[in-house]
Amino acid sequence: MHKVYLDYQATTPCDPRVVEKMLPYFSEKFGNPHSRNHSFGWEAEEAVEKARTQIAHLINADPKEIIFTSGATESNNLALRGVAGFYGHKKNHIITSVIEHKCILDTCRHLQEQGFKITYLPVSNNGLVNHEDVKNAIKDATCLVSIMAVNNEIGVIQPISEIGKICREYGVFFHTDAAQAIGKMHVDVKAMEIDLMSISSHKIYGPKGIGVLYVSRKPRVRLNAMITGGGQERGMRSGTLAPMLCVGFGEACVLAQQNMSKEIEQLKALTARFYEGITSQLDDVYLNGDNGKRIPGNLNFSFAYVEGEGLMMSMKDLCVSSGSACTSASLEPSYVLRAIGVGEDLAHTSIRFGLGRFTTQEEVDYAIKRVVESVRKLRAMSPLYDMAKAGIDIKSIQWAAH
Amino acid sequence: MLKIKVQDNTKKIYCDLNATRPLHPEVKKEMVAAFDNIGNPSSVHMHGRKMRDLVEKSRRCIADLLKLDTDRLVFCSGATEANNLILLSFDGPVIVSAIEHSSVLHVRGDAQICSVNKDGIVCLDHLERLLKECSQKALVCIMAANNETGIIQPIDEIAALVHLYGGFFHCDTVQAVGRMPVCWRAIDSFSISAHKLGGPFGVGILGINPHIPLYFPFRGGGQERSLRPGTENVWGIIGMAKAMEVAFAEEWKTTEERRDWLEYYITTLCPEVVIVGRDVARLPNTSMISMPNIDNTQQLIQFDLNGISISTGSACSSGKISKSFVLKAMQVDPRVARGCVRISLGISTSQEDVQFLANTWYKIHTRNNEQKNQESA
Repeated sequence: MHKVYLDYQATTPCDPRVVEKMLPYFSEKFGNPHSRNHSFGWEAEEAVEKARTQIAHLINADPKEIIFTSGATESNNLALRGVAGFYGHKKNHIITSVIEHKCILDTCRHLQEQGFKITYLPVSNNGLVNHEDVKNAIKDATCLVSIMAVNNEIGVIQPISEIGKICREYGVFFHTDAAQAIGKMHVDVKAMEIDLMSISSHKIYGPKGIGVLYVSRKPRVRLNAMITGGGQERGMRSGTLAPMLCVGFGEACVLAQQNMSKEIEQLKALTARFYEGITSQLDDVYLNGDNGKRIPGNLNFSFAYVEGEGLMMSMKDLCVSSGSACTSASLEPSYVLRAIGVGEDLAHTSIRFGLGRFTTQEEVDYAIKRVVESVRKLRAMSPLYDMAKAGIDIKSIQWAAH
Repeated sequence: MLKIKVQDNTKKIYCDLNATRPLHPEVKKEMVAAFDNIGNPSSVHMHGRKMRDLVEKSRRCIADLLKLDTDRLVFCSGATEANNLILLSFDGPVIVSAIEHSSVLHVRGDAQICSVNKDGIVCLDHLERLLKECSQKALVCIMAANNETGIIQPIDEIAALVHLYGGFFHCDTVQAVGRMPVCWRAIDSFSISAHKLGGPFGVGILGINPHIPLYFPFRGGGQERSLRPGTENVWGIIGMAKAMEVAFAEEWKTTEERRDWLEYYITTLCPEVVIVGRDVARLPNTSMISMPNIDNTQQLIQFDLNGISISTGSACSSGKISKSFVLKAMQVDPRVARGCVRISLGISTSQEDVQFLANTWYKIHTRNNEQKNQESA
């Protein structure tokens, strides 16, 4: 058996159909989309605009509301800093949650240093933000609420429509980081009353290095640009656009739209099979995040008495991660898991399994087999597991200092 | 109405290299080969590590070409971002030349503008005055070669002057890389764009000297040593490294001869023509030529009908085409500026292409004159 890739929340392989659409832009269609003086430029511009329409179509936006960026990290930075920069002198309060992606949390911290007030909403043990909390946190000075649509580690889906409704009612802009949501659930920026939304191409089987910030025109959201220069993207984001990346992203959106319902069903079945396979054969396994309100394709398990890194090492042919890719090199337990009340001991034992478009049933069965074997093997060597099985409460043990 | 016979459009001549350069076939090959690798370079598993490896190998390759340490190179989405990053990260006085690209010129509202002389070269006296006025160490941003005129700045002299006053020198080398020698060690910071040298769009480099006090503005997952977060554009980075490798091995002598021949041919046929920066050092492929008595936009239409793609200046600011702030800063007569087109030859532009270009130029010129004469008669 070759390697099994189960890290679809970190990144997805670029779909071959996407690559095919990109290829002409690697050779004969090489123009700069901002060259207005010749057909090479026009051809590139046309391709970029077509892609913009395809992306807009997927989320029910107007193409004019789509701003290309280098990825979701930049989109998130732009949404927060852009709104803070433009409206900050009048309104300096931002609401977010404790389980946002690192780029949101760090940007908020940076804004805090600049004098902004940030409210970090807690989440319940199932990982969900309570929309009533959002309502209660809104003040006169609130300019923005930023709550992610789907969490990258535990896959839970936040009550976006409810939050959108509240924000619209109170006249506060609502930004959502939808990098993990697009293609896995139906997202409609109009129906969900979203004002700003970040999307990443490489999470939906498109190329890396491109993303989008949706910026609503009705109601009109204004932003201070972070990157200035030639004034591309309606002045909100300067820099030459990359036609091949735009085209790839556009095609990825078309494929997502065409296959979404089928893919969701398929992933639901595979995920259920995986869940069943693991939980029926192993005891003391906990699913992190709400069991129902999560995207198909994400399972974040804690395997009690097993060290997560050790588990990953003992099943090297499964490509999984212990959390977000960005922070996966550090051994710190995940802040997301801590926020949902997973104890430090269990947080260290957690693994994120990400299933996607190209995951097969054979791969799932193989993965189940490998996980079960590995966990059993590691537990057989674990004194903690023996003690627990003998009825000793591990938490009550006073460890001697070394 | 101008009547010019439309050329068979199957043959297209692209002479707008300074806007973007076609992807080099070698680069395409390298990128396509990388398509089989999947994964996020930040992931610790085997797929992720392979991607990390590809990114770091590319960084190594570029660092070797520039003879710099790898930790000086920060990958980002392009030169516009690179220029923005350095300017936004620097907390102190900033001096920029009047002919900088818009991604340098308009980033900092508090920037002091250093003038250029009639030859398009930065006035060192003015620069020195501005440096003297700064109470703190200043960041000076001057491009190596101008995108519109191709005029080359005396980089070493500027670097020496800036360092004399304890300042830092950022050089936009977008148009210079591969087309002229650059002493990378003399400059503290630089920006490079992949798509201007035969690499893909959407990727660039900010080169930085660790001694510059910088406070980077973007936050995220800690990629690029936290200086520029965001999942790396791995294919783009691979393509950029290959493009630089190819570009550094290229020889522009023949192109320069063809450019010089083009200018010689045109000036011989039409002595009153003005060629911007002809007497000073320029990029080997760039020629800014002013045709008397006809607007550049009119010329472009005629060139395009003949299958020749050129431009009036920077692609970014098209739309406002007829007004070049670069020419204005050089105090070029507005009548001359109105007739200026930028021809930027590619390395594979043949003598035949250049000949056709020269003939087309002359044809447009004579038809226009005939028409003017008929009108006045």
